[in-house]
Amino acid sequence: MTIFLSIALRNILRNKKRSLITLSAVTFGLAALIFLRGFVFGAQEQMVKNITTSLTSDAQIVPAALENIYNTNAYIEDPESIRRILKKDPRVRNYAERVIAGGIVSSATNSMATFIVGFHPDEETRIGSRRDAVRGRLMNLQDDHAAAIGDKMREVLGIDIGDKIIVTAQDYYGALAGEAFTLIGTFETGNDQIDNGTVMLLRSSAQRMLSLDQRISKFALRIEPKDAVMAVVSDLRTQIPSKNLKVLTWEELIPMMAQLIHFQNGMIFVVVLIVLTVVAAGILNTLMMSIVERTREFGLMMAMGTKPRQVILLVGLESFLITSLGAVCGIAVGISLTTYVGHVGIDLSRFISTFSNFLIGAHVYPRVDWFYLGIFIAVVMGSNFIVSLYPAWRASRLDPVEAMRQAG
Amino acid sequence: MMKDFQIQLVGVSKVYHANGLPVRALDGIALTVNAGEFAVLAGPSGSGKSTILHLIGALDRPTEGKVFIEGDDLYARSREGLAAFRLNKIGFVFQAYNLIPVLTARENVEYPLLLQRIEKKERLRRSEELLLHVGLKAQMSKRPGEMSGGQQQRVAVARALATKPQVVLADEPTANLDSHTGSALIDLFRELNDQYKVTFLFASHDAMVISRAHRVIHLKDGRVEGEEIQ
Repeated sequence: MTIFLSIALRNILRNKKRSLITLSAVTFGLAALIFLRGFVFGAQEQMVKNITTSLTSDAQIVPAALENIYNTNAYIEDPESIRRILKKDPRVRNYAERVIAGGIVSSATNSMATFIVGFHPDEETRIGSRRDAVRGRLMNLQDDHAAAIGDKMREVLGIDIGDKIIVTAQDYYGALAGEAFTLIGTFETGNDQIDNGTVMLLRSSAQRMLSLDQRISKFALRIEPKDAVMAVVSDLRTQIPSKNLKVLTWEELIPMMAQLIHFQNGMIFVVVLIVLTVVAAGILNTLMMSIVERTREFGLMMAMGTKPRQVILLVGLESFLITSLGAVCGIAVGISLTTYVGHVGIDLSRFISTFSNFLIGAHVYPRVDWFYLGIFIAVVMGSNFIVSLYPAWRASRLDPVEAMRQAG
Repeated sequence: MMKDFQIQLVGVSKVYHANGLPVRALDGIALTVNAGEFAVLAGPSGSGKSTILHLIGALDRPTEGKVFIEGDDLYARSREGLAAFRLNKIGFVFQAYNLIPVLTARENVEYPLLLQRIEKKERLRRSEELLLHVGLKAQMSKRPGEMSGGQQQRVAVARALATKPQVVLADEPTANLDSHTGSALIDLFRELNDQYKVTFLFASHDAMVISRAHRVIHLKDGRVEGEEIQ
């Protein structure tokens, strides 16, 4: 084994230029995959973080009719029973109760369809979902007749801070209800649908306007640690008696986003397949050229009593060594690049209108995905092992006499 | 060395195909080589000298006939079995390109011993002794590219003897050497034949080699035309 390792190593050093090209192919391929995955992973993390903080939180308890986040006008009749269950689970660090309704918002000059969100400022602060105001100020518990809207909606309505808006909606009993509110602030999430179609009121104001009494539309939960989300959701599903209530993760609330992440992950494997095919073809080409050039040498080794399986071992070792070295370099370059760019960020502000609906910010911070890194290494090593089998087998099947007749 | 290491070729024919046409390299050869012989297969190019060496050395297969080594049919063995036979019983010296280019002279001599799993101390002892014997102690750390053709042939001889083979098969060993180096190489073979009683079988049309063999087997058109004992 040692002699074959030594011969394999020296053969790699024998044709430095060719080995360097092969090494570079493995290094570049693996580094590119690590960085690409790091970019996607960073963007996905940011997207999930933005979704769970500003939109859904980690999980929600909602009436069955609100299973999709874009549905409105359904209410939890007995929120107190749910509060008691939530207070018992220490993993549910905080929760916010919200009212969601669909309605129309009008200014003196314009009107448009809107989501009406009734919230409690302190509860939202505790679950970490509050954002800074772009104009005006944040709402507080005294703002009983005040509203905040997306800054884009403000532009469409043609109003400014201090102006009045009229919000109308169907109340709990089916009657048309409406109130005037003073605009005290605007916000910007980056998501067109939210920024162009949401009116934020105090929960108490929304309950008053919609005649909800103490009814609410949903509980938004902050769960710690994050990897306990599924366990908490599963436990709550068994504890909440009402069949009309659902406990949903953010992925179930916005399935399109979850599917987008799955699609991106799937696409990564397509890219992996393409990159690794190119890298493996490079390795195969190198090994085949090396074997053709060294036909006489293999013939000589076999004439001296080297067994066919030892020839396979030698060629396999050459492939393994160069792939391993390339993998080490690729990992080092890939991790360094991803870590550095993850530190400084990639400015996507030029494309922000394209990505804003995915709740990706103007800067993406790539992050090394160690799980995928492991997969990439395994696939690179595995695929190169497989492509080395053919040249190794061919070398082992050489006829020593014919091989030694080849021009050297 | 074993005295009963006998090589027998019985009705051996070998047909190659060149450009789709059959070429009869050997035609019903019957030949016996006994242990300790210093024999040469002589004849013009294409007479079948190298083919006989390849068949005795388990590098090729006869089209017809049998090759018996110590009474056993050589080609009844598997590919791995033939490789083991080459490793343990045969030492080869070829006309050229005898050495593994990435290994030093010493490592080339050690190579078959490594395949035999001989322990390091013994490997080093044997390789040093043999390289000393062929006058290359100072060149032990050199790679083939750093040595002359004659020096490379001598390393090949040392390697061929390293495993203590029953027979050394040498195919035109002097063809690429000047007359002085060629003569010195044959002196070395003779000395090793005397000292270790190793069977030497050459293929050569070099008059100097032929004149110094104990037994000359004349070949023509793939047949034994005659032999003489010198």
